[in-house]
Amino acid sequence: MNILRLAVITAFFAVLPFSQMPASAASEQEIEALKKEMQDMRSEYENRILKMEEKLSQMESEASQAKTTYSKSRDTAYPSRAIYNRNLNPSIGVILGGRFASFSSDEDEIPGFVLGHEGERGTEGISLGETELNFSTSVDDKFYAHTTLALVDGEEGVEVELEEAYMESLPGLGLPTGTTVRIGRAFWTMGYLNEHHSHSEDFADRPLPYRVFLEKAFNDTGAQISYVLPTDFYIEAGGGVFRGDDFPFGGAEGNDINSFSAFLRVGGDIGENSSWRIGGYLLDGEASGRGGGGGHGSEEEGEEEEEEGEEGFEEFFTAGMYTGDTRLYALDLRYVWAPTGNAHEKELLLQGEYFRRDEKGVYILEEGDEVLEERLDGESQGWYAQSVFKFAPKWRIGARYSQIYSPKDSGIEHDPYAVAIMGDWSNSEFSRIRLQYNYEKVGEDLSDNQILLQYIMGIGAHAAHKY
Amino acid sequence: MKRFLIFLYLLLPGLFFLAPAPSLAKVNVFACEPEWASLAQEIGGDKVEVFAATSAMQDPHYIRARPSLISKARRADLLLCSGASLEIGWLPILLQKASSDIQPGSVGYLMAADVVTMLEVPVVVDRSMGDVHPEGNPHVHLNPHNLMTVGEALADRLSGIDSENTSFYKHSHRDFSSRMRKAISRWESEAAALKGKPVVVHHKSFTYLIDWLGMKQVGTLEPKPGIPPTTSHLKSLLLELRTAPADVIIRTPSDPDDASEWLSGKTGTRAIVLPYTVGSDKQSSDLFALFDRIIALLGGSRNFRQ
Repeated sequence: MNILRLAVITAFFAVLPFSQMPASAASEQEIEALKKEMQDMRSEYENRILKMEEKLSQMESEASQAKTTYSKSRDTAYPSRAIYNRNLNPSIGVILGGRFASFSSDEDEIPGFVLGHEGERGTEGISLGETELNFSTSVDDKFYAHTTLALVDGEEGVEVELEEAYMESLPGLGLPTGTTVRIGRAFWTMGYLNEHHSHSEDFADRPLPYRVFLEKAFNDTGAQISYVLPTDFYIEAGGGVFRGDDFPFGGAEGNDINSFSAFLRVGGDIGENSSWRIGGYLLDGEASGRGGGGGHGSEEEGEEEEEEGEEGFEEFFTAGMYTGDTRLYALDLRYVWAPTGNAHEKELLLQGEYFRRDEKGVYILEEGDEVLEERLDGESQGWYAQSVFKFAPKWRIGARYSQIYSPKDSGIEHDPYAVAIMGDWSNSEFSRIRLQYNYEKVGEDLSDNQILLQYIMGIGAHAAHKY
Repeated sequence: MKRFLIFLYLLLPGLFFLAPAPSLAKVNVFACEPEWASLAQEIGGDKVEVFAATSAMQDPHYIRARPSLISKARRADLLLCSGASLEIGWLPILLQKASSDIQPGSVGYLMAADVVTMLEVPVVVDRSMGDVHPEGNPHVHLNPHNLMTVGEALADRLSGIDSENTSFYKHSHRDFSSRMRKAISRWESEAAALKGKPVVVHHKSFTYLIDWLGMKQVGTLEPKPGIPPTTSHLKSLLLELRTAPADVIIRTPSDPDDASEWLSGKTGTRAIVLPYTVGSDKQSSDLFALFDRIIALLGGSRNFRQ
């Protein structure tokens, strides 16, 4: 049985080769054809596989490149059209601000307040006013720097003021998001107007409280940090430390930090048409020998003294040198309304600030060879409110009321106030012509009618304006 | 004590479940204009939280860097804007306080003008020429082909920021492109009759639309970009149109109507308000509806969907 099976199987395998033989033997040409076809197919497939392999490796390298660009070199991975005004290196801008001024009064002082040089009302007649030179750019991926030089055409020729020279952290520095550090000299965050350059303002001059409490603006040398909270609602908090050399301080010596500031701002939208911001500020420090000469170490002037204060300390407050503690509180509010939020056609700006100054120190008054000294504990306040309405794309009108209250114990009954109305025309964002009328009642029999005609022309790079 | 430690160890994995999973956090997209907000919604779907910084009624050239915009930008993971200096007056201020991930050159900073082909790129720029953008005309979204290009870049950026949902963005982008491609061929056939038709525009807001449809811009009501129409300029335009009449005078809803109505009254050429972006009028509720409406108003087709 087994043998039989074996025989059959053997026979089958033995026959198998022969069973194919007749066919192959039938046509050798067909074999050749088949072989050739196989060869062709093989080479074709090999080519295709080669191509696919190439494609695969290319895709793989692309994919790995894409991965590295996201994780590593973000700086170069994306086409970046750097922000235009930072494109020039550095971006340079010049702002021309000439004016014609006519004053009815010769008196330049505000009784009860020691005015710094810059707090005065400016030159009468035709003058070049202030020519502002701005240089700014990103230093590298981590720092930004800015300089503002003001060329002031005053009574003693052209004076150069270094208004701003600061460096600032860029988000690339790696500080927590929302944090900005600014070091150097700058218009620090203190109320609304202080941060702004005079060319971007709505009136030709600063309101009374700015003139008496900040000598136009506080731009001491120091450092400031600010942080925007990660909330939907805008909250920004910050503070700074300063040398204590600029008005309302002065005469800083040695290596002490003589003044510090703190602030908090909140803001948001009301519907589609309006937005607002409110801020609270504190500026505290020591003044040693703050006088009529103003900040940045210049000599005090204190020439004009009027012999009228019978029992009060009017002269001390008006022309004396102050040494002691000074603390300034400020509140500001800004409200902007524009139909459907489109500021191009129509816009209403409401703005107000309140200041309160507490001082505890000594006023020194030199009268000839005589040196008078008076210890005083004074408190004075001031505020202003203004409204500007843009009624056509190029035209705006505005009104402002400012008031300051003479220091307690100064013996001055009158509280100075001023009213301003203005109209301006802007052909473009870069040009503006303004006519302004001021009525100032600074003393009981000291009133001044002022007419100011001003032009503001900006050429070169122009940074975006703040809120 | 030991038992307490063991308890703590057991608690730890539990805490991971309590903490919100990072994948659930949506990508915050800060879109400077409504058209980009709409595109971000198309591509990002429910994986993104979109904020539009301006409304259809606002002119994106003139926006104040409001406090609310500062806090929105500070929280943004992706910035999607027109670029080409359109937002130059306010965006730099917002960027100062924003994260380093949305600064120029990073994955979260996408400007449409950087990825599409720009038109009207000036050779010489001088401010006496008006508000000319040195990078070219920034109103790029009115050519739907540009929307496809920006959509592709957007899907890419979203995948870069939120890599877990890469396939989602890829898929929704593919879906958007195929719908857009179909719509484009429909619009192009509907608007075939508009080819070569002369138009007058208020501001050069419609350059990309006119270029796409093959129409011809023969004049602008503004004497120079950004400078409001003047009587003398309108008069010379009127003379030109008397000899070579235009087919239509178009303006956006935010442009003032007086100049185009005056010119229309004098020449008999119809003056129309074309929606400029998503939300410009009731019908233009998304990007597709916007072009349906534009083509219909231009007279390309009578039977458009309402």
